[in-house]
Amino acid sequence: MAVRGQFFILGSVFLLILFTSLFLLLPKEGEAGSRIGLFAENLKLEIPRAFNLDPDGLSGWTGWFRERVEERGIRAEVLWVYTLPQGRVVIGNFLGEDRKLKLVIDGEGLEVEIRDGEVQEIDRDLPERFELEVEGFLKEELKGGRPNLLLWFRLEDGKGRVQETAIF
Amino acid sequence: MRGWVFLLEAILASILLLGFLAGLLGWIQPRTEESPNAQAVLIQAFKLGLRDPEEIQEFAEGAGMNVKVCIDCQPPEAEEVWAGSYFTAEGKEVKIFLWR
Repeated sequence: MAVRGQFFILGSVFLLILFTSLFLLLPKEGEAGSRIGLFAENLKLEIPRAFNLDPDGLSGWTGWFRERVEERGIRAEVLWVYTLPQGRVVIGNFLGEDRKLKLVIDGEGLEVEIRDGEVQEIDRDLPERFELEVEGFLKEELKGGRPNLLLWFRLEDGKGRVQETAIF
Repeated sequence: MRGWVFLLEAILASILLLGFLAGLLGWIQPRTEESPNAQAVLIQAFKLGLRDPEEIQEFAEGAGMNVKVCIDCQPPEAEEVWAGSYFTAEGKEVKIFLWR
């Protein structure tokens, strides 16, 4: 009987190790009050403002933001697409590596190869209403008569991860 | 039957211990790293449209925080601890410092 009791104590230690490792190893979804959750809020609040200040400067701003958060040990992957009424589609790759992305505008597919930290511009007439998709990231129905900005991002540190899409 | 009781006790003890450890971690971390509360105040201030450091500082003080807010700056005194940053569309870093 005395030996059996020791097994239960051993069992509780194993269970504790199991729970603790699950708690520490599994990436948690970032909450609104967490560090990455707050930087996610920062990104969502400022990216439309940066776009309104100067659409051509959005690439520089995104690169700057990514560097700043990476200094704080947060891995940031950002992808955005914006369209302008005069028939311009611009896609920015800040995913951390050169990527071949499939862009679908109103059902018409187009493969674009973009280096990390760079943008690709496509001149194309945009109808009144159209669907824009970056395969694996974003898909949205948009209006052609006004500017549109679509954002996909993932922020990750050792403790958690936030992944979101936003349309402005 | 008794075995199940022991097992249940072991699970309960593990959960309690884990809770204690998590609580301890949560208690230690905000004192050694940047404060999520301070950064949340910055986010809230920017959501409300405040842009001037003095306005943000006033807002944070209203939330009961002893802070100093400045843009692209270094901590002015050793007693102040950087607690969070906000990156503006204009390419500026708004920093919030807590008084120790």
